[in-house]
Amino acid sequence: MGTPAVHRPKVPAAPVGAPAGVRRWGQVRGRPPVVGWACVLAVLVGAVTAGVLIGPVPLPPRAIALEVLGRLPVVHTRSGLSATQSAILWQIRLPRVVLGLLVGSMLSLAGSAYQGVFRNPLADPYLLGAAAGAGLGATLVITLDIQGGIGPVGPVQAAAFAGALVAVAATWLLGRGRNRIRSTASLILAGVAVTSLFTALQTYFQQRADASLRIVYSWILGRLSTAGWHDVELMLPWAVVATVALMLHRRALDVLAVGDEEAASLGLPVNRIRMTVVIAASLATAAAVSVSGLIGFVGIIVPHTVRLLVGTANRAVIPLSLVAGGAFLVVADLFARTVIAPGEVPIGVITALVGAPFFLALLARRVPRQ
Amino acid sequence: MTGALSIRGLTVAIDGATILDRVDVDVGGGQWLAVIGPNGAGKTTMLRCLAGSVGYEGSIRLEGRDLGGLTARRRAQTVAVVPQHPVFPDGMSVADYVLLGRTPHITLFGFEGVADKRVVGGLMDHLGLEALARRPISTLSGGERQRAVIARALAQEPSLLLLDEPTTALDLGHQHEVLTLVDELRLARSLTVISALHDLTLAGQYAEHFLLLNGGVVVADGMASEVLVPELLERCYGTPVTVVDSDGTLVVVPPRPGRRAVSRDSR
Repeated sequence: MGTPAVHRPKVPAAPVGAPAGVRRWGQVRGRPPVVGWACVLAVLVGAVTAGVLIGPVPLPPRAIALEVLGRLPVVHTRSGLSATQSAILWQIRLPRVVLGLLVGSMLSLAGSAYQGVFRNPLADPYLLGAAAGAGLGATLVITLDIQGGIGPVGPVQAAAFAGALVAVAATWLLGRGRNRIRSTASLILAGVAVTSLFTALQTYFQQRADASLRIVYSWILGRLSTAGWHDVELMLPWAVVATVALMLHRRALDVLAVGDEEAASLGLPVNRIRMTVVIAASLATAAAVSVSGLIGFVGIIVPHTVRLLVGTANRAVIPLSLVAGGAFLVVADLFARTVIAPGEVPIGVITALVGAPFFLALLARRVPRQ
Repeated sequence: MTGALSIRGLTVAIDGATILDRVDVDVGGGQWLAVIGPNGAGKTTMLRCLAGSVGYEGSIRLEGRDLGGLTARRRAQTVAVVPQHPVFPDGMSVADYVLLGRTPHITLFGFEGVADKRVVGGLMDHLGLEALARRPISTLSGGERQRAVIARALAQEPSLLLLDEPTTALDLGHQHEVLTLVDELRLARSLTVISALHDLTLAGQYAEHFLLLNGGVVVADGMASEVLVPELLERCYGTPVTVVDSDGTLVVVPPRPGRRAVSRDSR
């Protein structure tokens, strides 16, 4: 007495049968990716609030709000924070939160830009050798105990920044295939070679000076410093330049998605755009790496999570990655400094530990829809 | 005349090998030129020269203007390409894909405006894509995709449309659907169409002007009756052909060579 299949009630929206576009809000032209932005902004606000409130010394939330409001022009409030509490807020907590926002947003922005310009979902900010170059620069300065630096920029930061840019420039110059064409494949391969070379040199110098091994190692694992606004000030100009440049190119990156030849036939100056995007993303990466060391995973997981929220169009992914990356790193930093308090876990360990399973879960949800 | 094209001495050499050798051809505005010839004859290279994707010697003048002197953007405002193997970005909607065709009319850092959306909306209506607008382009069938690619090309508002083997991935019905659509659009918009076509039967049914290439050299240039000639085709394709007149359209039929001999040998 089997009921014929036709009489069965329709199973509501099985993932396999559902049109692939239905759950990707951002793909639908004319409807802004509201849900994605709402999620990310909620996380951002929560992360910043928690980042300011949580720490070894408790700060009263109401007083913090009044204190911050009081710094605004024309607003006059009294927070009631003691001088010590005020110093903790302004010189320790806030700079660290802001630095986390900046570093996270730059790594995530650079990652989404590299993924767009190389049309490669596995591209990350370190694709063209920026991490290896920065690592070599920092290692050289630490192991050779070089003092000085350039103006307000410390020697390790300056060397890491320069190392990252030297490595990317080397990749760019070497990544020209036959016929003088820089294809994405030849650039990525050159990046692999440059990364290997710089990593080998870095390991060599690191092993030669085992007295400083621990310092080098902890630099490589990445961390956010707690010492005032100095790092934020160092990073901010580069972050602004990179953000403006990449935001301007976000529609061009969508055109590039159809490949170099088709994009050129649509009138896009492909080579000039690729070079500008690579320079901007590399500046963002170098700036982030120079103040925070090598924090992995952010540049891959954040843009991909953003794509799951708003679709693959770069015009939506680039701005949202910027915000989501900052929020993500502030959350990661919160874990890094509270899990084994008063000790601190390297933030790179947290981004990998939190990021990898989270990312895998998102991927697992996504697969049945294809 | 809009879309009138004049090619003189078009020569392409890559790594010392000559792909195209002093090709001369004139195409009247609004005409359909079929570039035919065996594999490796230089058909695709000729289209790529017109699209500006490959360097060449000689001159290509469209409406009297030298295409070689134009920026990529200016060229894309007059020449549109339907590639043989278009790339369909993962997750991009059909509407977004067709909007890419407005690129040459939008400044580099700008975004599409109301006028651009109106052009694209009109085209999608016309090509029966409006119901598919929100679908990811990678989920469309071959015929639907080809219509989307044509819509994207027309969104450039070109006067010259280049089609590289536009029917390769399509079944018989969709081949005719796509080519009929191109023909209607050509007449409605006085587009000049240049297509590379393997299928000589299809070429004969749609094009009015033929260019037969072999080894990068022009073998014949003219009307169907001047180019679809058994001796010429046999010489280029290396196989015997019969040309049949079917209601005024020349149909090229290649009889299968040596069938019995092959089947006997294989036993």
